[in-house]
Amino acid sequence: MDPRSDPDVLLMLRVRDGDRSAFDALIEKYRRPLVNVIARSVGREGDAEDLAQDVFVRIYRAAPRYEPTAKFSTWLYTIARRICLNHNRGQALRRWFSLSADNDSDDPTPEPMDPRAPDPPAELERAELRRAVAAAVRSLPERLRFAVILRRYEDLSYEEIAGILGCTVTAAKLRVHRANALLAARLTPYIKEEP
Amino acid sequence: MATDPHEHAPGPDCRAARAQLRGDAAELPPPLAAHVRGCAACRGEADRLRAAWTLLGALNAREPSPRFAAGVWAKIARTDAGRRRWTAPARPARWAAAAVALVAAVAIPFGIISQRTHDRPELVAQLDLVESHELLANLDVVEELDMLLLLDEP
Repeated sequence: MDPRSDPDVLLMLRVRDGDRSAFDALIEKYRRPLVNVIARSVGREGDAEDLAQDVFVRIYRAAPRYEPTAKFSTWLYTIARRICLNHNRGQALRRWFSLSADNDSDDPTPEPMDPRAPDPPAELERAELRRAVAAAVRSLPERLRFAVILRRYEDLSYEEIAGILGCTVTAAKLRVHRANALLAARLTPYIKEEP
Repeated sequence: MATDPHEHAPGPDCRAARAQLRGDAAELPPPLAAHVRGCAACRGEADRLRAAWTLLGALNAREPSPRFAAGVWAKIARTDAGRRRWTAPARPARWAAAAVALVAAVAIPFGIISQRTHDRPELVAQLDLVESHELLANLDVVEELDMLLLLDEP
């Protein structure tokens, strides 16, 4: 595939030429998926926007040297993955230095419950399920976690996922398959048996 | 007499079949679909994978803050200002401060690590275990090469 057939690559080439409105267009298009990919990967929504902004800053800084070799989204998510990796390693190091057994800092930012929700018990169940799913995703090894996030939530093709992870298409499928199997094991209490 | 859940299942064997099952697949290839229809154990596994895949939808997408783009430009402006400061004619005091900070950044963690591992030898063992576990979890270990070939099939 010729990268220049990607409209986002054309926008990035305009950024390279100094067009700030083209960069605004890229931010507008990718801010939501990027923030959500990062939030699911690092498990802390409070950090996700900050990290997503860092991704765009890096892209802007690289603009003068930009030469398209792949889809823009491949490049974007590759940078996002590296930023998530650095962030998670930094968090692990901070936990280690503090020698804290308290893992509350790993918990995702809890969603506020709406007291006006029509069915509070069901809302509690949904909130518990969200926490369980977020924890299960966060517990995956990083290589599997990012692959399943890109496939499940952004519906990227295996070819794109392979490009982002720097692996073969077969390896990308294997990672998603393994992640799926691990998640099924961890979410067993929430999987309803077929009658 | 107990019924073997794998008996009479056509198509690939169960191990090969499970390597192909994917929660994100809307339809299974015909040979795999035939096996799953005839094998209760693999049918159960396929259902579990699909159910887990569906459960992932519980994580709702969030809308970034309205000031997200402004935040990006603000960071760019801050890094631009920072770069201008550092390319200004250097002052000896600034370079001295940077050297001290660099030495401290290396020495302090090294000192902490040395002290803590000296005091807590079990920490060293635990760190080794954690690193081994992480390494193993990230290895793409494939038990059988033919599983890879099956994954390549459309």
